[in-house]
Amino acid sequence: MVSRQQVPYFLVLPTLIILALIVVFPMIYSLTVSFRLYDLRVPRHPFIGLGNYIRLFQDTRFWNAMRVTGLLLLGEIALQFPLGFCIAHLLARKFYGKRIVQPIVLVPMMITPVVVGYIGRLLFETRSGPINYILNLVGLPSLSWHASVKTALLTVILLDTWQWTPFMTSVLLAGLLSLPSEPYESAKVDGASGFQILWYLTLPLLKPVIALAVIMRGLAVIQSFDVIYVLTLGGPGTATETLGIYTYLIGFRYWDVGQAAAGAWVLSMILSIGITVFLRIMRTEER
Amino acid sequence: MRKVFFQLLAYFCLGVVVIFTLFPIYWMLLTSIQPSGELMQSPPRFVTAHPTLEHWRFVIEKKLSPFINSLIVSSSVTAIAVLIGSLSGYAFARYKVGGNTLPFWILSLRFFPPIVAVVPLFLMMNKLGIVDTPLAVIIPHLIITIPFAVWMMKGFIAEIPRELEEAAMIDGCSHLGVIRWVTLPLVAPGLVVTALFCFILSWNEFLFALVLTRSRAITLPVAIAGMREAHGLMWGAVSATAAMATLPILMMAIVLQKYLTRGLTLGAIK
Repeated sequence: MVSRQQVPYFLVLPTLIILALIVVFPMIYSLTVSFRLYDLRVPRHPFIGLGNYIRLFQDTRFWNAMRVTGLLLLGEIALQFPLGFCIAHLLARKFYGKRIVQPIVLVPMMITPVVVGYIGRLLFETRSGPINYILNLVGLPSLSWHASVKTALLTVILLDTWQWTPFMTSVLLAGLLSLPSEPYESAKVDGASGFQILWYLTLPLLKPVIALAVIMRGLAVIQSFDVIYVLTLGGPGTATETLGIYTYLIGFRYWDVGQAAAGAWVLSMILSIGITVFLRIMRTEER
Repeated sequence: MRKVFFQLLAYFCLGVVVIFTLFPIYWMLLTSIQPSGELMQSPPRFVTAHPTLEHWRFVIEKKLSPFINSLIVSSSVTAIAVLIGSLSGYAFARYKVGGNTLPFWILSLRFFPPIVAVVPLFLMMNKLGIVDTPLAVIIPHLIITIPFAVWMMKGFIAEIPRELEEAAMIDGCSHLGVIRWVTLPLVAPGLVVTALFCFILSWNEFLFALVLTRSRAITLPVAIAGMREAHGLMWGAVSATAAMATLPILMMAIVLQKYLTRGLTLGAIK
């Protein structure tokens, strides 16, 4: 018989068994693969120790992928945080039509990322896309957007910004609405300017929420894959080849699964720094 | 005067935000009902005088099987994740099983990079011969949805006052009876929200589905990504397929709008 005290453990058991099978075991398996010269087209997979990692660090394409991922991260946060912050401020006010506008503004983040990448191909199309058309209307020249080495990463950033600024907006909005009102009242009595209130009150009070939003967004950007796959597949050349795309191509286009596993592990090492910070924030939120 | 000016400015900005948000979706829907002759014209047309369903007919004739695959995968994933997640969520919320470590380990899996799991899963499934079946996609999608369901349900259950359950126990209700007659009805809205989110997470997922299917079992995102190479400039058809992938999600988003922030931050922000 199962005793009363044991019941909770049995409730957790299915989760643990499934996660052990589909997460823990594959992770260990992936680690062993990363120590082997594992080409899918070749039947034998000899152990080569850290060989895959050494090859990875010697590959200029890997370092390019690190650079592209870093630029993407900086570009996206630099655009989406201030934009989301402003839009959250707009939505925090009372205004006519709020009940319709608020849900509309949040829609993009629900849309399938592959679809977003495809919409990008439509909008940024060089010859007949609406964006170049509008640029021409205001007297600017057409751009090649995702077809040009210079602007391809920018195109990815703009598309992601369309999809994910709503995430920043919704998190920051929830943060703004939960702020206590007393400090604001006394600040007004003391005659603080709008900028002073923002700088000395809102930003410090919102710090945990801002950190959470930025970290969660950052963790997703570092793994960027779907939109880029559809829009450029890492190209032109390697202009938009993020770590995710690079690893995928190594493993499933060139069939060098061993090096792909090594790449994936390097990626997850980078992510684990962010995850640690994220967990710390969540722990303080729990209390 | 100043106040009126700022009011107008705020409305103007909101208007701009709404237009920017809706225009890409509008453009996709527009492309899906424009006659082929009108597509990819320069200058582009911002409205169409001759709406057509030719692309939608193509989708219903040719792209129904990815749609059905996606439905099978996402519903199975949702059912399993919500069931298993609720059990754990209940244990974590009520009994603090595993202290802090276990739930937070599960939480950290929410950011587990699919690219790490996809290599070994591909090798294992290849050996088992289940690549290109719905099961091959259902299994990895549980990696994403189970941690999510556990945390969402943990949050929803923790919100139900313990006293309600204790009162029912004192009145002679069995433990299972309490869960069935007290907890379950109260947590029902939370269950629906969690289920819809799990469905969307699975529906939108791309990398696992891309690697672990080839032709028969492809899901909608894989089908859309593949049309790029296979169909060259069939913009209308791709738009209609993309719209078909988007519409169910949009309907769910309407139900979820109050819970969007909560879902996206795993309950950290309510």
